[in-house]
Amino acid sequence: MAYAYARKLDPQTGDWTYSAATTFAQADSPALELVKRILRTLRGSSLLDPQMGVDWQKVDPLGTQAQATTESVLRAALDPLVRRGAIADLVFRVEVDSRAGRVLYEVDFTDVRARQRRTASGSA
Amino acid sequence: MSVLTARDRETIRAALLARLAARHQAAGVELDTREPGDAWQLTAALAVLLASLETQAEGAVLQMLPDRATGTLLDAHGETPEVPRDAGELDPDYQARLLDWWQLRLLDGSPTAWKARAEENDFITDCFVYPRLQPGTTNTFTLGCTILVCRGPAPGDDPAITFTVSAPDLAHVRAYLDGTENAAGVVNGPGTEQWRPLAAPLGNLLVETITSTKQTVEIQVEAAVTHPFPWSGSYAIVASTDTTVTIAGDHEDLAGLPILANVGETLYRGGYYAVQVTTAVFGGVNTVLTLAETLLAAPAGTIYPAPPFWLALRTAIFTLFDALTPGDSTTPSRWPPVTASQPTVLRRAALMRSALSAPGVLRVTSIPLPAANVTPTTKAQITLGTLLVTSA
Repeated sequence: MAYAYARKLDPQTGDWTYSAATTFAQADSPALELVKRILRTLRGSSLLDPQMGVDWQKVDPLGTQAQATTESVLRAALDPLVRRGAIADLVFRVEVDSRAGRVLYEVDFTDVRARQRRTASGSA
Repeated sequence: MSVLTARDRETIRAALLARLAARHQAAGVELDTREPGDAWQLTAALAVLLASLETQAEGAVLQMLPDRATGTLLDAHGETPEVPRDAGELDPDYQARLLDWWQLRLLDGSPTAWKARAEENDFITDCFVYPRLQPGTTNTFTLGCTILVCRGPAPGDDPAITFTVSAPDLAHVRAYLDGTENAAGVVNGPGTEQWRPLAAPLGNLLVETITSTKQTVEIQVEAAVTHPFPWSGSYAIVASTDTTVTIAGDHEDLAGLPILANVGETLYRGGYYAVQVTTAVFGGVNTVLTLAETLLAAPAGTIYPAPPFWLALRTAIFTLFDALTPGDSTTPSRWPPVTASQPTVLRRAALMRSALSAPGVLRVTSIPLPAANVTPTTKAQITLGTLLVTSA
């Protein structure tokens, strides 16, 4: 049982997931939901908070600095959560698929309240 | 200050989030309210809409009030009262003019308003309002009618002063309320306004003075050994002048002692005056007492011993009577209402308490008069008639 109630996002589609009882599914890690929400948001696209999200504009998957830039923009996007103490000990793994022109990433972090390691992944 | 103050979106979001969290808490679940969780974003999005609505509502409410509306919406406020904006008149000036118009017509005729307005007048001390009481003596409730019962100053130790307000002074109060005089009684003087609501016809308002019901008070007390009565008994007056009193029998022992002699309550409040006997001469049938002072009138009735605490006791009883107020209607309606600090009933317990407050009174043995608590009739006030204190 998680320490607080948060709705669970489908990591692939970004939609709410539902339980069998047709209610919103509860997330196991509320902090993971915060991370997923930020990673799925393109910086500038949220009218509520234009500073929220990942600045993928800076990343050129075909460039030589793609890996370092990706890690940098991911770290910058999640920095507010780190500063607020929601997550800690971030570890990034980034792969650049030059042929497909995309990057794949994985973020390991600690959900501070749950004291558990969690992983979020995605591509851009 | 506005009647509605729009909140900013952060305030609204925090309020919504707190309410949502409380509802979850009540269900035994902690809600994750951290930014940018789903609860946070939901409330933040709602707050954006609500903040706009509140700002719009705040502006709309302001335009509903003549002292806050501006521009053409202010002009609209002038249409119903037919007070158009003068050429070149600025909003603040026009607002003030509209307010003046409303203030003149929004007099509510409430008891508090009547009382406050009447007491602004220089000719009365205070007034009591009987809303719904029909002018006249029937004490019938009729909607739209009001009686103002006015009082002058309390008498204290001066019998010439009563709570009664003279007819000319009442006329000034009435003229002030009707808007022909100002509070100082100057016809059309500065501050003259029509204070009667338009819904109150002339005949529905009656301004009258207090009526009084006199009550004789007689108290029997036991004096402390330090303050004894100077002599005992009482003697009927056979004859009197303003300097002598003649009583039957040999009472030369009264020489040098104080007596209470009734000179009449219209000349001396309570009637009985304490005076020293200088000489007492027995002439074979009667004794002539020569008094140390020239009295206000030749006393009549009976003389009694004047106790040392007479003046203190008298003052205490005066204070008690001066705190009484006019009686309420059968169904209570008077404003201000009857309370412990605004009593109407003369209670024997209160008389006893007042008598005991005089230094030298050991105890009150009986109160022959009044024989029971005295309740005044509607609009009437109990006032002091004759006051006498005798030895138990």
